[in-house]
Amino acid sequence: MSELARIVVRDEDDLRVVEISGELDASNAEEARQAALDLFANSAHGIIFDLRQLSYIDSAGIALLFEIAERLGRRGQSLALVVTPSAVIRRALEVTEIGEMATVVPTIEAARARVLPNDERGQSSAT
Amino acid sequence: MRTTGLRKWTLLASGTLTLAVAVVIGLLLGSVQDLRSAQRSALASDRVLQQATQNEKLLIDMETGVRGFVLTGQDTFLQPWRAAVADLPAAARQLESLAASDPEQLRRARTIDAAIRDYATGYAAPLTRTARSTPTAARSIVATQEGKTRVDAVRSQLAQLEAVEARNADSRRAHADAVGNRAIAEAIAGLIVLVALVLLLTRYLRRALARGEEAATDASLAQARLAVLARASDLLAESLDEERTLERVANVVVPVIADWCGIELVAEDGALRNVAVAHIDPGKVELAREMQVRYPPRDDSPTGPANVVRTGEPELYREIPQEMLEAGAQDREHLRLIRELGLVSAMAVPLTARGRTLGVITLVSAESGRLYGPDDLEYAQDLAGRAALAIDNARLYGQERGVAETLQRSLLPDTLPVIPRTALAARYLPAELSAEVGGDWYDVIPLPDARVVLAIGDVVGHGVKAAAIMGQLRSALRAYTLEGHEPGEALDRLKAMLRTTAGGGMVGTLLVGILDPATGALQYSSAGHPPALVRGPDGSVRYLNEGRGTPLAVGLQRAREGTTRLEPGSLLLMYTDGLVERRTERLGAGLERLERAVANGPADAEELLDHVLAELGSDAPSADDIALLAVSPVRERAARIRIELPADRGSVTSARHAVARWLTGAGANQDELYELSVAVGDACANAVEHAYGPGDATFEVGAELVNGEVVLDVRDAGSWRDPRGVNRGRGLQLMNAFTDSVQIDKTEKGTHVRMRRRLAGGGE
Repeated sequence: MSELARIVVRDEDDLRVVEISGELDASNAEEARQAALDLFANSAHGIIFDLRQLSYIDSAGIALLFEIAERLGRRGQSLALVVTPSAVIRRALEVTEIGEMATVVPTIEAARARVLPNDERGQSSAT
Repeated sequence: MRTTGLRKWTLLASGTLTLAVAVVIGLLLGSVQDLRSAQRSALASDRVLQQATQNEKLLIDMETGVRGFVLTGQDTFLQPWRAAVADLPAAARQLESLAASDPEQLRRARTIDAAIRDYATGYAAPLTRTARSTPTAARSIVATQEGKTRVDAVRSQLAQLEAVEARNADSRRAHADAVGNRAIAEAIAGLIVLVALVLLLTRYLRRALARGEEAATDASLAQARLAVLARASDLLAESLDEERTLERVANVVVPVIADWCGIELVAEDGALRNVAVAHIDPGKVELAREMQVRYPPRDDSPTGPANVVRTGEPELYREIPQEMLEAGAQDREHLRLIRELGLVSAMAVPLTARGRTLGVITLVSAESGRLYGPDDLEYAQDLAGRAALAIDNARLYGQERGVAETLQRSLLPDTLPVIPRTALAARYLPAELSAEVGGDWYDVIPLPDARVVLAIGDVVGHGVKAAAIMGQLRSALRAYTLEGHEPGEALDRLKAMLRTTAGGGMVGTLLVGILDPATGALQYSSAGHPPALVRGPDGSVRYLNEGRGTPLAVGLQRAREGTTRLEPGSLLLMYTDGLVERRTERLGAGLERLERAVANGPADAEELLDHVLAELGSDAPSADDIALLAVSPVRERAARIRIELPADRGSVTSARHAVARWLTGAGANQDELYELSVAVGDACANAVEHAYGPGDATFEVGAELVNGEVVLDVRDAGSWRDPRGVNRGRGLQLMNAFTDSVQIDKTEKGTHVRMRRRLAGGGE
């Protein structure tokens, strides 16, 4: 990964939390994509992307989020994005309506609640 | 050692048995020999009797023959006489030899023989001769009378010999019987002794073997128990998740130590809560859980976990008494279920750490039938002690670290405010060595009069207390500066506040500056904090050594202030001592290295901080926190920029960074900065994709502020392609959303994208 962005993965219980910090643009999106696709765990209910330390994302990075959400959705897994309410990148997420494909929440705890099975049933998640 | 002993005793016992067998057989052989000789001598007496009868018959034959011849003169009467005389010597010798075993009888036999010879030669022979020559003289009853007398004498002697021999035979037969009986008795006794010895040896060997097995079992059990203790200790040290850890510990304890293991912890409300159950038969774990739910243990029960927690004393039941089960049961069904478990022996040991009982570990044997003794209790207490300490440590650590980290994170700014024409960058690196969170902090506070407060501080100490004090300082500083107090006055008020509040003993340092971005004027005051550093536009570096005062909560003199001016293109660096202090060197050395790193560092504030950290950081884990704050008035407010970049993806980043710097100078706010960066970044990404091949193609980016409106231009030599694929449209979508207008001109020379956006602040 270039110095622009950093990906840190931690497994918490049955959930994988992928923290992407820094900046995600056309120059490193493909690299990030490769790294992210390697992180899929079949057993998990879903994946949490912690974007609280992400200061920049443009269409290349958002395309990556869509692709991951779609892949997970096909396997019945869900994607939750953790984004601070006041974060500047929130605007880009809203414009592209990633919320249709993934859950956007302010905290890891909220993400966990949405991704774990109990709440998963509430959603009409695609399989 | 045990095995050697075993071998020695076994050899000795086997030797003894062999010897005993030999002795018994020897005795038996002796008896048989005695029996045989007794029987032989009895037989010999019989033969003496037969011979004596035989000899007597010969004698009678002789006498009758002689008498008949003498009286009748007929020669035929001499026929038996002659035969008897011929047989007599051999018969006499035979009798003597047969009677030889008894001297008395031998003497008698010889006398008889002598008498018979004498009769034959000294009487019968002359008589028959006389009778032949003078038959009338001899032929008379008288002449034969003497012979009859002689024969009768011999016969009476023979009768005597026979009588004696018959007595002898009787006594010898009796003796033989006695010897026979004795031999039988000896044989029986010998057999009994042998069987007894074999039994003894067998029993001894079985015991010895059992002892050996027991010893071997003891040794392997002890080893297994030690292994359990070691494994449990590892598990306890491994994780901070106490419930999971205890469950794993319970599963290690079963089945080596117990058939059942239950662990209860005292919850916050004081009630016991079961956190782990393990059983050698996993199916029974469910049964136990079910029982826990149906019959929750009563806190007032006189025995068991509740009592152990109450008293802090362990309980040991070598054999669980029936009454105890009955007393513990809450109803018939409960008692039935308890009995079904087949509990045999049990121990309940408190989990005690630092004088507090945190819970109880219960070990029960059932299926294995093992009985617990004082040794087992000691072992269980060792295990419980380790578990308790681990739980306590984890709790303390978790509380302290969790609260402190939350506080710390909540107190540092998430993002720095965007200050017009000023680049800001900050870093916070928690100590790696210390388990606790430190008290370094920084803050940037925009003031209503467009000035900005820059603060960096270090609260001595770690953990929750330090983080809490840091929070107080930060809020107070915000309040004082927003009220309009200058740096020195704000510090004085902070010191006064600390003197009157609980933070009285708190020691810490703080550097506060107020910058006017419009003029570059900086007013600052330090409470014992390491001096800030300024790099001028010409690259010269100096420390801001004025306005220095005592640390917070030390001394009563008023804070002093220093002033300086930050030229456009200069850079102010504020830091905490973690950056420059190393245990192995003097502070001055660190300051010199920092000075060099800043002098040689990049112009961009963000890049400079990375450079400084790389230059001053050591490979070893840091023992102290580091906080850094860099402030740089943008060099010139360029009315426009125009840059040309090679058509590759890396250029997209450079292009939007350049535009972002320019936008900061143009007075864009935080949202505008991000959104316009995305717009220009996506336009550039398109331009790179349009480029024909990787060769020397380039694209051009321009930015201009026209009457408060930002005009962004991206030109390339390729032709615009309509977005492909579902994701491709998002670039254009974002460009449209983040600007007021997007204009795309496709010509033969290439594609030109122009975007416009009016800035909220009107631009400057």
